[in-house]
Parts: sequence; structure tokens; C-alpha cells
Amino acid sequence: MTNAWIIARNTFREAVRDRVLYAILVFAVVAIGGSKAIGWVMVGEDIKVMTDIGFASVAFFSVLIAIFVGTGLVHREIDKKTLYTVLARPVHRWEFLVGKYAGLMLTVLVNMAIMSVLFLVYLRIMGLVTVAGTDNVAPPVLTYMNLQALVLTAAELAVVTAIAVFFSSASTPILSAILTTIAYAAGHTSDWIMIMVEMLRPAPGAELTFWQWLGQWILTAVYYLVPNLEIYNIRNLAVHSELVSVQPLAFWHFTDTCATAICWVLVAMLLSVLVFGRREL
Amino acid sequence: MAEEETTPESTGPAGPAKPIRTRGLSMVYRTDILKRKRKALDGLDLEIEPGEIFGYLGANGAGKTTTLKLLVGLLRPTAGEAWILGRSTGEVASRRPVGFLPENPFFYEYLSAREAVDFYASLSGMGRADRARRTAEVLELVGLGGAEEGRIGSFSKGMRQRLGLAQALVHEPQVLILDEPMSGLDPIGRRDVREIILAQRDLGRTVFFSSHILADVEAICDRVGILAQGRLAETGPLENILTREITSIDVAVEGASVEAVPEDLAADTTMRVIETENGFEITVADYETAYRVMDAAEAAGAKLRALTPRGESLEQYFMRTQAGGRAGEGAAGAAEPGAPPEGGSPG
Repeated sequence: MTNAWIIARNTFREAVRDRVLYAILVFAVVAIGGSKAIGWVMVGEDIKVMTDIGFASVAFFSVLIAIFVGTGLVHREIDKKTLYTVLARPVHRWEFLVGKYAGLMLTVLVNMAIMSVLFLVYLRIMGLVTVAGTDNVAPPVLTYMNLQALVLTAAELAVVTAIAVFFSSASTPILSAILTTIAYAAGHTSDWIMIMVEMLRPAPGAELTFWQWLGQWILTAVYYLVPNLEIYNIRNLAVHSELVSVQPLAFWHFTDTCATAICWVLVAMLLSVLVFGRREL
Repeated sequence: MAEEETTPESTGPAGPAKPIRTRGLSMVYRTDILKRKRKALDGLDLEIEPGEIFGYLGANGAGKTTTLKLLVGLLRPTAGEAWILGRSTGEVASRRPVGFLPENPFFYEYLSAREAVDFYASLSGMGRADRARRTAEVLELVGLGGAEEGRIGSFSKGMRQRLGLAQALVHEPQVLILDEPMSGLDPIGRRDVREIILAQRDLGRTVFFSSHILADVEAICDRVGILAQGRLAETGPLENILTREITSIDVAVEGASVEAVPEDLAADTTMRVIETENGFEITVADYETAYRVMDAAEAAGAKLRALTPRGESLEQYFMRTQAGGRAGEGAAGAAEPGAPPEGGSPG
């Protein structure tokens, strides 16, 4: 694992020196800062709108980094032959992949942490400004619910990054980016897939046609093959956390969801190792 | 024999394990989704002795780079096996005593030269203090002493080549495997690399390198191997390979002018004739012609100063071997039925 850690550190160092990362970070800061403008339009709801946009920005721009950097991660190494000098040393191919994944995750998480801190500090300041001169108390920002939402966003990113690394180890950056984006979109519409399966059921008394059967089969396969990313999305709930009906996830539910993410990461990385291990370099 | 090919080497009756040894090493590439095949290397048997510099020659597509990649585990052979100091190249540990320089090496653009070499040193298991010391040493050795903190992205091709050599040397490997180490270097750079390779041999290390620059190979190699279309056409010490045939004879004569040369020979435009201060020199194809020149010169009152038979140059030999390999029946590189013609694929 020492080699994987050395490669992870190097990947992180390379990534943080890439200007693309800073461009994405600037966009994220602008989006979080600009949320106040939309908040003004919706009188009385400005903090809620800012929270909503802030969470969405953190998630969206972090996924953007994961896809942008992750999909080229392995292929670029093969294409530019930078991995020749690495794998010609006593380094296993799986160590190389795990190192690349860990380095990218470190990059994504550091960026996410920067965006989250900026977002929460901004939210706190705006909350204090809103209640200034009144008897009201500014809403807390470091709530258990908000932290859960951020941790689960990180779990989602871990899954998306592993998918990006898998596609990157098997195909070109452009194809990887397209496939990862499709997997991301499908992962967030997973519940709809089962609804569509239900819609394909024949009317009572009617027989199941071949096409209905085929459609059900394909959709069910997609449902089980693509991770359901919506289970990591409690950001909307966090926005409405002041409502009595909205409660943080129970501890076991929360850890169970995190464990699911770990399982998906392990599956994606295992497949990556199998594909990459067979590649002629 | 079969057992010998499948079991890892160790010290045995024949002595310590060879730095590099291959038995029947073969590689077939699948060139496209139709799984058409191209044989890049065919049954390579090779043994490299400790402390020698071995030059690996061959035309583009002959299988040189494929061999080197197989030796460092970047490719897995489709048949046969290779060992580095007795360990099968299938084992990751076989790469520990190896320093590898790929052809036209690429590095992480955003790192400095010092960071890059330190990174490779850490992958070879070196401690922090050793890394710092050796990184500074090898960067100085390859002539990048003043560019330690420079970003690799701004490096010229020659500087990258030098950096490639630095990363290959940093962990003081027993076996150096270098793919075209002089590529991209100016004459001074080539001389520097030749000196580094010779210095490594003086330290008892084994150097196995491929090159297109025959003059460099001729200057520093103890032995050469010539690869033609995936097969080893010839291997041995340079003097054994190159003195097998006499290709020309220089005759130096004193006390007579060029007019002493027989008319039919003087008319032969393929011969080289040079007038000297008090005589002439002539290069002829065989001894019979040389004797005719000598007789004619003696008849004109001149005397023979020197008679020097010339062997093949490495370049001449190489060209002949490659031509033979191409014409050879059942050449290894010949595409299998349905396979595309060779070219532009890994060498």
C-alpha cells in the first residue's frame, strides 16, 4: 500500500497544479456568492435559496472535477506513456490504480472541503446580516443535518469517481466522460427506472408481450447495474431542516448508506483492476 | 529442458543467475477488434552476462521495444519466459534491481525535475535521506544540476531524455534497460550518455540498450544482438561479428604515381584512389586485385607501404542482416493470414 500512497500523493500534487481545477473552484465560488441574488427575488426565502444553491454548487462542481479529471486519469497515463516509468518499478498494477483513485479522491475532497467551508461561512454571514436589527436569531449552519448532507455528497463523489476511473481504464477520455455522465444521470433517476418497469406491466387480463418483457428486463438490469445515487442526496431535506417533519437520518441508516457507497467503490475498482490488468501497455 | 523454462532461476551449477535471460520469448499483438494478429517477437533466446554492455539492434518494427517492455513487465509474453537476476519477469520483485528508460520518455508535466526523480526513488523503496542525496547526485550526473527546480513541462526533448536517465539510475540498479538512450540528444549529450553507460559498467552493472545509432553501439558495446523481424539474427562480440568477412583491402604504395595502376582498374569508378605525397593509396575488393596493383607498382619501381584488409562496419553488417531477414523465408514478423502489413507498430 506504500506505493499506492506515493502514487496518490503524486496524483494530488499534479492535480492541484492544474489550472482547470482553479477555474472550476472560481465558478463554484461565483455560484455560491451569486445565490444571494436569487435569494433577493424570493423575499423571505433568501437563506433557504442560498442553502439550496450552495449545496447544489458544492455537489455539482465536485462531480465536475471528478468527471473532468477522473475520466482522463488512467487513459492519459497510457497515452502519454507516463506510466511506463512507474510500472517498470516494483509496483503492482492494482497499486497504481488504487493510488490514482485515492489521489483523485483527495483532490475532490479537498476542493469540496474548500467549497463547503466557503459556503457555510457565507451562509452564516448572510444569516447574521438578515437578522441584524431584529430580535430574530440567525439560523445555525453547522447542523447535524447539514454535515450528514455533506458527508453523503462525499460518498456520492467517491462512487462517481470510481466509475470515472473504471471507464478511464477501459476507454478514451471522451467516451469515459460520456459514459460516466450517463451513469451519473441514470444514478439520479434510478427511482424513475422502476416506475417505468411498472408502467410496462400489461393491463389486468392482458398478456405480457415480448417487447414489454424485453423493456422490463433491460430497465431492471440498468436499475441493478447503475448505483442509485439518489440515496446519497439528502441536500433538499437539509434545506428544509427547520421543519419538524424533517429529521436527520438515523445513525444506522446513515452508516448503511455510507457502506453502500464503499461497496460500489470496491466493485468499480475491482472491475478497473481486472480491465487494466489485462491491457497491453 | 521444459522444467528449466518454467522454474525461476537461482544460483546453480552454471553459477549465479544471469542479469537478463530469455527462453523462447514471444509476443503476438492483437491488432484490432477482429483479433487479427501480428507476431512482434518470435522465440527469443538471450543471455546477458554480468557487467557487460549489450547493444540491441534492429530496424523499426523488428521487436526491440517489445523485448524491453517484456523485460520490465509492461507486456506479458504470449509464449516463453524471461528472468532478471533469476526472477521471472512475471514477478513484480524482478523489477527491483532494474533501471528502465523508455523510448522518448514522458513525465508528469507539473513536477520539477527534483520532485520527479524523488517520486521514482520512493517507488523503488528508498528512504528520505537516500532519496535526497541520490536525486541531487544523478541530476548532476546527467547534466541537469542547474535545472532541478524547473518544471518538466518546459523541458526540451534532450532534457527529458537526461531526466529519463536520471530516474533510471537513481536507485543504483544492477541492471539497466535503456530504450534508445541517445535519442533526441545532440553530439555532446550522446557523448555524455556514452560516458555514463561506460561508468555504469565500471561499477559492475549490466547495461542492455537498444539503439539506432550504430556508431554509439560500435563505440561502447561488449556484445550486440541483431534483431530482424522478431527473430535474433545474430549475437556475439562485435569483433566476432564484424571480422568474419573481408569486404575491402587498402593498398598503400610509395615511389610511384597513380599512373602505375593497371588501366582496367583505374577505369573502375567503384574503387577509391587517393594520391599521397610520394605515392598513392587504393582500395580494392579482393586479394587478387590487390596483388595485381602491387605487381604493377613494383614494375614501376615503387614499393609497398601497407596492405590493410578491411572488415565490415557494423552499419554494413546491420544493413545486410536486415535485408536477409526481410527476404528470409518464414520470417517471424511476416503477418499471419489476414493480418495487416507491418509498420508503425511497437518496435
